[in-house]
Amino acid sequence: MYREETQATQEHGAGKPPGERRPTAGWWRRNQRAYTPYLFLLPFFSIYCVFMLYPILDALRLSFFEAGGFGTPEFIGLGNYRQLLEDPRYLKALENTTIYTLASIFILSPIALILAVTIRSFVVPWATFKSFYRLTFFLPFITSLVVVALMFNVVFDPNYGLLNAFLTSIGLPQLGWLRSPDLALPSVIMVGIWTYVGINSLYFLAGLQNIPDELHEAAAVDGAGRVKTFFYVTLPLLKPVILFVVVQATIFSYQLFELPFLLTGGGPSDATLTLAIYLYETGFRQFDRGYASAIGYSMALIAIAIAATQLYLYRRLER
Amino acid sequence: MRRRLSRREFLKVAGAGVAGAALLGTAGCGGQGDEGQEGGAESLEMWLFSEERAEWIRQVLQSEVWTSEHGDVEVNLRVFPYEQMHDRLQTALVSGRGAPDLADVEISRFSPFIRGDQVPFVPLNDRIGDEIDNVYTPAGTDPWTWEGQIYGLGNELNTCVLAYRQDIMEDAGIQTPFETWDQVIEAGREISTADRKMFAIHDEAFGDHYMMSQSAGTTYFDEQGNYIGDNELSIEAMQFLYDLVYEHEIADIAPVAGDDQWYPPNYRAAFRAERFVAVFGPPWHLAMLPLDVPDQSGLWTVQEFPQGVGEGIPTAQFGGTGQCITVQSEKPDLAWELIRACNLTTEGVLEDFKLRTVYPTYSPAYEDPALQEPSDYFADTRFGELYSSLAPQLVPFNQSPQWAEATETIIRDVITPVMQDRADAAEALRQVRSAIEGG
Repeated sequence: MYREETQATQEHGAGKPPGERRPTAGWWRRNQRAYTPYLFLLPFFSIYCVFMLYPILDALRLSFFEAGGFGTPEFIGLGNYRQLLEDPRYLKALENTTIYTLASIFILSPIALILAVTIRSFVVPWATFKSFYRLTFFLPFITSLVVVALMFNVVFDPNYGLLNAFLTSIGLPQLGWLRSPDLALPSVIMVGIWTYVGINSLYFLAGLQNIPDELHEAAAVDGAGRVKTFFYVTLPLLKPVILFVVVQATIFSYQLFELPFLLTGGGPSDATLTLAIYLYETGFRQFDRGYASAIGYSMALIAIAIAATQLYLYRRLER
Repeated sequence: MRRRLSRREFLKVAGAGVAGAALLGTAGCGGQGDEGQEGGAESLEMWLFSEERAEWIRQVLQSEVWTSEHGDVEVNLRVFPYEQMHDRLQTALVSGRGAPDLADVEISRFSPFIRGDQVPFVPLNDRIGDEIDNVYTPAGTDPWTWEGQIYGLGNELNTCVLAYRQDIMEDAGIQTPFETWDQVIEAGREISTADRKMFAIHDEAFGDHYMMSQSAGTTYFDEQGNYIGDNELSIEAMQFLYDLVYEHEIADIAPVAGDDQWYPPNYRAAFRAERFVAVFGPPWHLAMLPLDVPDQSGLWTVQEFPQGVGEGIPTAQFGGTGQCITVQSEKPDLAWELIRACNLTTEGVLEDFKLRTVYPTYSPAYEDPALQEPSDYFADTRFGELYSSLAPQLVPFNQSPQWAEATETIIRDVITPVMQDRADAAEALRQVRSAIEGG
């Protein structure tokens, strides 16, 4: 320590007149407190710029080009974006993705809320059981989607699947869950609900735990029943969590790829084609990089627009 | 006594660490060196999507045909999952760096590489030279050929045949081999019950229609790569498949799964349970029978496709993988030597036959007794003799930049609507043209 201080003193000009200090050393001493945090952040931002920001900006540039295969890209302005509006497959993918998103908001989220309220309520009185349920609901979320898809491929199998075995046992006809264009998307939604309801329940549970018990007790003293307490006390106080769940469900739903890709590959007849699968097909199987970039940007714009609308509506409700 | 690390020292160490990592990273980005790992030996890098194919190449690398001249060459085989390998290859080739010397390209993933005005593979025409006369080109080179240039060489002679349960036909008093599809349909009516059908027809894959189209005498594209899949022969093939299921009721929709639309475990289980007693397809498809239905050994037999659909060509081809040299390779000659050893030598192709029972596209290999051995499973059929006699009758494979798009459209707009919803085959196939040309 002594030697270090001595060296430091010498390096910083001890014994020299103040005017002879090196200007850079002086600058650093004056500014290091301000700049050091940025130095520590530099590695992250370097990686971010190279691997995230640059591809994002380059994809924006590419979306204005006809860039199919290995030829020289040709500038076509908004041509790719105009094509999106006339492309029936893109519109089908948009429709499917929107249906999945709506199901996430209006089916998955309410189920998650009901589960959370149930776990926290008198229905599950023991703490050990509450933990057990929390763990059970969370398990599908941490299970690999490949495993989930393999499992549900077996469950949905028309001939040997669990669901059809059940239907047959009660005298109903077998259904082509993932094979029929009418049933494929509902089947994928069912798997999505099974996979993601647990994590959303945990969000709601966290929100419920932040509501002081005194409020519920006060409502009970005022003569409010459980249902009224839920609608007039619990639900209004859960608004921030509900908004968070809905916004993240919207954003993630518009990026839906793995589940339908692994379960159906987007078929049959595009019944489960999502925007992300269409982007992948266009970008890699057809190798049309310009159009794929335009699809990517359209996905981002849609998700941003919907999330912004939700935030706006929420703020209006707050007032 | 522990000495505290000063901020200056920390920054120095951190800076050195970052600089070191950057240097290492830069070194890692330096492309493939010309030298091998040791002693300055030459090296090659090859990307594949199948561990079995990698094993074949390992066997070739250990054989005399390679070691006699190139024993000191290091060949780095990198196996990726199917989609990932092709995606990475496209990305590396379009970015201009990072591609291997050579790569396996599956038949249905070749079309993106010929979109645009540059093809990122090295033409092999001059290197193949007169050996082209020894190759069954519809399977060996056509799928990787565009505008007269051969960009890849495939080893699999995927000649399709009809296979059926001989014992069940004999028990029903049905005369075989079948000469016409009408006889097959008649036999199917004899043996089909509620729990047993002759065939399993796919409703989310184009293979059945593609095979029958070739047997009818047509294919999806002409020599210039223009879509012709809506011609009368193609429509007849589609109608034939529809009729097998709904008119003659001798076929059911194939029990497949979302993650495997061709022959997943439940499809194979259906053959084990004798729900289906006949199948038509290439060798790799029939190979599921000895593998997954071993207890039916000796009960199956095979024959060429019967007459009666279109021109009645007795075979078709389906599937295949070619080896291509990338334009980024700095050692195309050495890469070609590996392709040649694997595909154009009897020793090389026999290694694949021993390992995967692949019948080769290299015709001189059929003189080897190993390829003429009878199959115990398929009632002593001599597949080598059968396939090599059918190979010259294969319909040429016409590649197109729109191949992937067309086959996906055919599945989506023709196969599934016709086989599931009984849509009109002719109308559905004609709509594909507008979808492809519009796209």
